[in-house]
Amino acid sequence: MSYCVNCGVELDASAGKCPLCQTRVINPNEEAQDKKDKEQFSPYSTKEHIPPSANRSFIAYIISMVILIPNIVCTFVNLLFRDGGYWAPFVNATSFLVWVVFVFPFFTKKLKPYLMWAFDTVAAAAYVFFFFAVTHASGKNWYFTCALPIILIISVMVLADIVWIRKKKRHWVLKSIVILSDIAVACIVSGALVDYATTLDFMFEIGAIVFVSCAALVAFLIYCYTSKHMRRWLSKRFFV
Amino acid sequence: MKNGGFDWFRLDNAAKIFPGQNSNSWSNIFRVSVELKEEVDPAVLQEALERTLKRIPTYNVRIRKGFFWYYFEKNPHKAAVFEDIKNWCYRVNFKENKGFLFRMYYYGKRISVDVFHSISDGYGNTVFISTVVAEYLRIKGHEIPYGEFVLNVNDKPTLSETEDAYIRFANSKVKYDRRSPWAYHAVGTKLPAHLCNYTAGEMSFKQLHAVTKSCGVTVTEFFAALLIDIHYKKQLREKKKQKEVSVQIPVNLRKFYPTKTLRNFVLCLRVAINPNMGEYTFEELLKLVALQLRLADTEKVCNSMMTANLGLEKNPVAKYIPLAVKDIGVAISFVITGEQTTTSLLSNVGPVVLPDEMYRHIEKFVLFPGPGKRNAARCGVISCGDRLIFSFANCYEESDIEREFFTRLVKMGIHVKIESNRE
Repeated sequence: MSYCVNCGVELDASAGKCPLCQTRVINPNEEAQDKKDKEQFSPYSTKEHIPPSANRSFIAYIISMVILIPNIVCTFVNLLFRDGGYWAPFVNATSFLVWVVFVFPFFTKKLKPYLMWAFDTVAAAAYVFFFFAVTHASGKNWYFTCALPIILIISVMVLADIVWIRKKKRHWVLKSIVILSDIAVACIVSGALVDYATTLDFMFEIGAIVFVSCAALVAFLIYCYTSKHMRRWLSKRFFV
Repeated sequence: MKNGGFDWFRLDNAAKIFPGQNSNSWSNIFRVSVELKEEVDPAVLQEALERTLKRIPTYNVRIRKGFFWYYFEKNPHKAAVFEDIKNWCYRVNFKENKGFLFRMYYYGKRISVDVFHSISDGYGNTVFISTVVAEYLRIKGHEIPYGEFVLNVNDKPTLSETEDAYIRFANSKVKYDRRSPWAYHAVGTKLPAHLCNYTAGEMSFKQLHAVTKSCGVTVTEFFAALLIDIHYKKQLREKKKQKEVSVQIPVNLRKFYPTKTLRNFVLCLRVAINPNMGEYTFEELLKLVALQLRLADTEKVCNSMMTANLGLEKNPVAKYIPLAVKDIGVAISFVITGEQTTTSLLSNVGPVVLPDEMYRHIEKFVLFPGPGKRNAARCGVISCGDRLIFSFANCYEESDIEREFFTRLVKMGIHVKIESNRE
């Protein structure tokens, strides 16, 4: 019969330590063999049974099939009726991008953000390149002067966000500030690049409008996050 | 319906909610164990289980999806017994275990049954396991009479044992408003899915009763007050913004209504304190809990709660919503309400009453609630003879609540013996 010197409760004869406070049970008179024998008669089984989890890859496989079937149908229909030109490759390319971004992550057992980031970046670049290659007749090299830089800039920002969020747990306000800043930067840069590379001169202005709106929100959130006074005032005014 | 009406059943009013809450990582499940004085023979246990399943058809079922509701149908397969595991009460998958919604285990001298809450409540499951154990002992050659919690396996099952007693007795003109605020939850290092720490403390009922009697409260009230006190003090240490501390207490409605049902017939009462009202001493908490519980634990209040619950089921709009949509609704409502409104759970099955000849073969009964999603302390109480077992199911690694609870009892002069699946 053993007792925990710390908790005062009686322990099971097989216990090596107190389950409540982890204090070790020491009996200097006990033989090593006795101790081993006791441990074999634990009050509860020591075997764990982890049931199989939902088969994510099977679900992903089913969704892939659901996406694949209309694509095959579209391709056949387009091959049979070619009067309107070849439109099925656009459907196929878009479906492929959707598959890479939304379905492919389910084929991995655990979420792998860096791998997904790499695949998504390549898929987005390839997708836009497909459109560029098809419409290249216009003569302008808009893919390398505009589309690819935009994709790379957004991709780098997303990578930075993933690293930052995974480093430690962040407050939701900080996360909102970072996401809004990303949107602001992405919009202004995209606007400027599109403005520069194409004839769409109004794009920079549109980007600037979004940038200013996001910047104002970011400034407000930073103020709320840093100022105790502001937080107190907000909770007083908007209590539920 | 063929076979005397036992080919298929509707789920009872309380059971309807559990399949919607079921997920791949969590189920509403609990365990009742019986420890014998001799090693368990699995072959004999298998035989005893098969005989008992013929007597209690509500266990011999699998769950099926109808268009509007789930239903149980007779399971054509043979239920099996398994060697016990460390992480019992893991989730129930309706396609595993040949569709059976309970799992029977043996380990050393112990027989346990983990049951999905849709098929029965604590009382029903205690009757089931008592009948299995009595049959087991009978096959082993012991003379065990029938009676009390032990059913005669030679009798035919009756419709009254399989009835949905909520429908028969809910007739209040008032629907009880059960909205409650979100409560405090003790947090810690969450164990991986399917794992849970279980700790059981064995004590003398007489010793405990002497203490609770001196406090002027019942055993349930005493335990509920102690749980509230521990969580209340823990929250004071941890947080500035104080939330309500509440304990959910299932009440066996069979004490109010004459029914033999072995299916669910419980209602959950909630006792709570608001720490923002000021400081509470343990004596104050005892009074508060006893008052709240005694006000709520009456036939009239329980009937109005039953009527409110049944109202949802009978609602003409809700009734004809397809099951898939109902499931989504239940899952969402479980996230919003569910464990959010309760800090802890305290399920007291009370004393198990057996034929006198059976006591000499039985060491003790243990009731383990399944792991909570957020609750660090889901507690079960059951007694057999003078042995009362208080158990904890804790989904966190930390054991501070259990430690505080049992050391407080020790300080009050109650001898406690601890067993746990912790290493």
